[in-house]
This record gives sequence, C-alpha cells and structure tokens, in this order.
Amino acid sequence: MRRSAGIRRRGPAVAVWVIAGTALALLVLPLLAILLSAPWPQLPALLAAPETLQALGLSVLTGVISTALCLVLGIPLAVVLARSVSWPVVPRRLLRAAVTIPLVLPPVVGGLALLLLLGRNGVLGRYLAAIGITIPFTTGAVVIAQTFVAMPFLVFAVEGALRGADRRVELAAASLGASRWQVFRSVTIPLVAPGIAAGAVLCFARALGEFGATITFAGSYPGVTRTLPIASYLASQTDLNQSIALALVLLVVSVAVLLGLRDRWLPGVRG
Amino acid sequence: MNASAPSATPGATSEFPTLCASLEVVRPDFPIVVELEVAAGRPLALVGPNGAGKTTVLMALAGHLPLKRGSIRLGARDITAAPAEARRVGVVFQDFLLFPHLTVADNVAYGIRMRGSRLAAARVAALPWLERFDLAGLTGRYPHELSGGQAQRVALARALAAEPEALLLDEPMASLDVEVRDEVRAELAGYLRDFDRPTVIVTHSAADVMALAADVVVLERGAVTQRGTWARLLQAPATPYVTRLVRRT
Repeated sequence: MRRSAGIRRRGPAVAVWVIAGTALALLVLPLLAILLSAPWPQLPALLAAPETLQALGLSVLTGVISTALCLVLGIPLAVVLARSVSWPVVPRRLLRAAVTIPLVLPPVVGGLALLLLLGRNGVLGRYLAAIGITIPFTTGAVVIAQTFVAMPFLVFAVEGALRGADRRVELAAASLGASRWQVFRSVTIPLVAPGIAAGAVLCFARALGEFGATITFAGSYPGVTRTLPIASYLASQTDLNQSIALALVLLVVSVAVLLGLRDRWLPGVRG
Repeated sequence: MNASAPSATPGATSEFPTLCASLEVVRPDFPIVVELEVAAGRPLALVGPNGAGKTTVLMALAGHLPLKRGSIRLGARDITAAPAEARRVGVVFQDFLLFPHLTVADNVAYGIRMRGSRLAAARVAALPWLERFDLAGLTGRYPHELSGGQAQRVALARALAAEPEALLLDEPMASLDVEVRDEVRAELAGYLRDFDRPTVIVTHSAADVMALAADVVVLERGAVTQRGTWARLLQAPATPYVTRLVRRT
C-alpha cells in the first residue's frame, strides 16, 4: 500500500473497534428490531386503516405548515444570529442560548411551557381567551409545538450557510442599486439556498417525529391533534402490530430525509 | 457598433460631473485622511503600498464604509450620507464578486433590474453590453466557469450596465494570471477611455498606472504623500515608496 512519505498510519486499537461496534449496534439494532418484528403480511391493511391514514395526513399537514412557519420566522432569525458575532458578549450569548433551548429542553417541558403561556389561564392565553381565541388542544397547537422544537434545526442550518458564504457580494449588489430588501431576496437567500433546503428537511423530520411537546400542549384527539408518533405510542398499549406499522412509516420518512439531505448539505459531515 | 448599442459615453451632450471627496475614515491602525478631485475623462490612480488604506478609501467612496467626517460630491449631488444603492457609483471589486448563482447574462442584467426593469426587459437591455464586452458567447455560463479575464469583463459590463455616474476599480489586475495581465490591461484601458465619467483605480502596479490613469494620488499610511501626473512622479518622486514605484518601470 502506498503511504505518503513512508509514514505508516496505525489503525485504532482493538478495544476502540469493540466499543465503536457496541455503539453502532446500540444505534442500529433497535431499528433492525422494528424491521424484524414488522407484521409484513398484514402491513398493507394496517397502513390503509382509517386511523393510520388520519394520523399520517395530520402529521404531514402540520409538518408542512410548521416547516413553512420555521422558514418564515427562522431565516430572519438566522440572519440576526449570524450578524450577532459583532455584538457585545452578553446579548450575543443570550440570543444563542435562546435559540438553542428547544434543542436541549425535554419536549414535555417545552409543551408545558407553551401551555403555561398560551393555555386558557396562561400568561398570554387569558387575553386570547377573552377575545375568543383558544389554542391548546387544537391542530394549531400541534403546529406551534412542532415549530417550537423544530425551529433551531432551521436556524442553525441557515446560520452555518450564512457564515460560510462570501457575503461581500451583497456589497456588489448594493453598488448596483439594490435596496437592503432586494439584496436579501435576490442575493442573500440564493447564496444560502442549500442551507435553507437542508434546514427545511431537518425541520420537517423533527416536526414529523414530535411527541412530547405535542401531547402536553395539544393532547391526542383523533383527526385534530393525534399525529403519527402519538398514534404509534397509543397503539403500542393495545395493538402492537398497529404501533409497529406506524413506527415503520416514521422510520421510512427518516431514512428518506437522510438520503435527501446528502453530505454536502450538512456542515461538518463529508462522505 | 450599431446605433442602439450602449456607448460608454452615453448622452455625450451632457456635462459629466467631477467627483470631489474629502474623507476621514477611522481605522484601528491609523486614520485615513484623503482629498480627491477626479474629473470625468481623467482616470485617477490611487496607489500605495499594501495596507496604506487604498481599498478603505474606495469603500468609503462607494458608501460601504462610514466616514468620521468629510464630504463626497458627485457633480451637484452631495452623496456623503447617501446609502450605497443610491449613489450611482459603480464598483469593480478586486475578485470581481460576481453573483455565483446567476449566469453571465443575469449578472450583467442585475443593475438594470434593480433600477426597475422586469427580468425579461433587463435581459434584453443587457444584450448590447454583453456584445460590447465580448461576452455574447458566454451568456449562459456561471461565474465559476469563467477565466479571470472573462470574469473581469463581466464585472465591468455589470457595473457599466447600471449606468453609474462614477466608476471605482479595486486592483483590477490582481486576480488575473500574470500571463494575461498585459492583454487584459490593454482591453481595460480601451473601455476606460470610452467611459467619460470620473474613474478611480486602486492599484499598486506601475504598469496599471501608466496604462489606465491620467492622474496619480499616492497614499501611504492613510495620508496623501504625492499627487500629480505619472510624468511628475517620475521626475520628482516625493518619498522612498514613490522612488521604488517609478523605478519598476
């Protein structure tokens, strides 16, 4: 084997291989167990069941809406976050922490927080209730819960793209007569389009899998707030085959997201 | 060139303004204090060693850097406080800064679009500029598919298609391979001769000064150390830097 300058690189020690293999098994074997346990002959019937289709439809609908909401709200937030590098240290760190919180917060806590804010007697919810707007336990609550947990994925993907792009072309655009909004729309957004696409896909996947915040803030009403993960969890209490069928759908979507993302869209990941 | 093709001297009957600037710009290392007067048809070379503040002056003229004090006038217009997009000052950046997501044609059409034309109309309006800069065969290419000389022509066509009232060029030869510089410089000199509006060229190359500029301002550590024609600099170099610069020729 040819090695540059005759340097023989040593591979990892056997112990590292064993530990790495254990880690990989921990990641992959549970998924394999789903495939091995799946009730393949009954699968078409289980997937075509009205409650499955209802949960799938609701999940896709709310996932699409919350991803769109993340795009509309998250791209400007990513721009501000990328620009915050020139801010004083305290507000800069506070902003970054605020954006990161949903990533590290247990989703159930997020759901509870949303309930305390927007619930009938919540900090804001009481005023909304006074004008006839009730959010908890509605499809809107599902969208808000999903947006809450998925937003950081979009923001960090776009912020990474903004930092990696040569933004001096924005100066060139301004010198050609483009206003700030025109620069943003016609130069900044296309420059970071791959980051936006990656963020949107990650966002959709996270929204689709959302469970804890949703069940706390939106509950589990069939056709209104019972998304795929909630339906899968409830079915696991009564009908395991149904639960596995629903889990398979979520697994397929996750793998599709992985394939769709590809390495070039994920900063720090190279094939 | 047919009658409808753009001339770099459009509206030859009108008076083209002089660019007058008195600038003070704050920098961490030293302040930059410069006075410039650039007449239409007499391109001015701003020369100086690396780090002297040449590009800073250019960015301040273009509206991309705030002034500590001073004023910039373009003819009768005071553009000191105007944002970059309202100055009508074209810039050709050192590494051209073409829009990577747009084709050559759409890069050139960009400034026309920003002035209110629809995309289709802007593309049509860009055609004569593409022809004039010998880019007609490259319209569908993206910036990463261009040579340095081609990219420079696109940057120049893009800047001029927006019909600026003054043009700033930052080290226009620096991104080009050494072998093509003489040829591209001669082409650029031809285009600049046709552009009878105030032009400032930042460079540290004597060859650029001789080929492209009528007047020279020497900037060293943020201050003007000599100004005049190239012949004047040759005759009586005021600083060791100017002596070294003129000796290179």
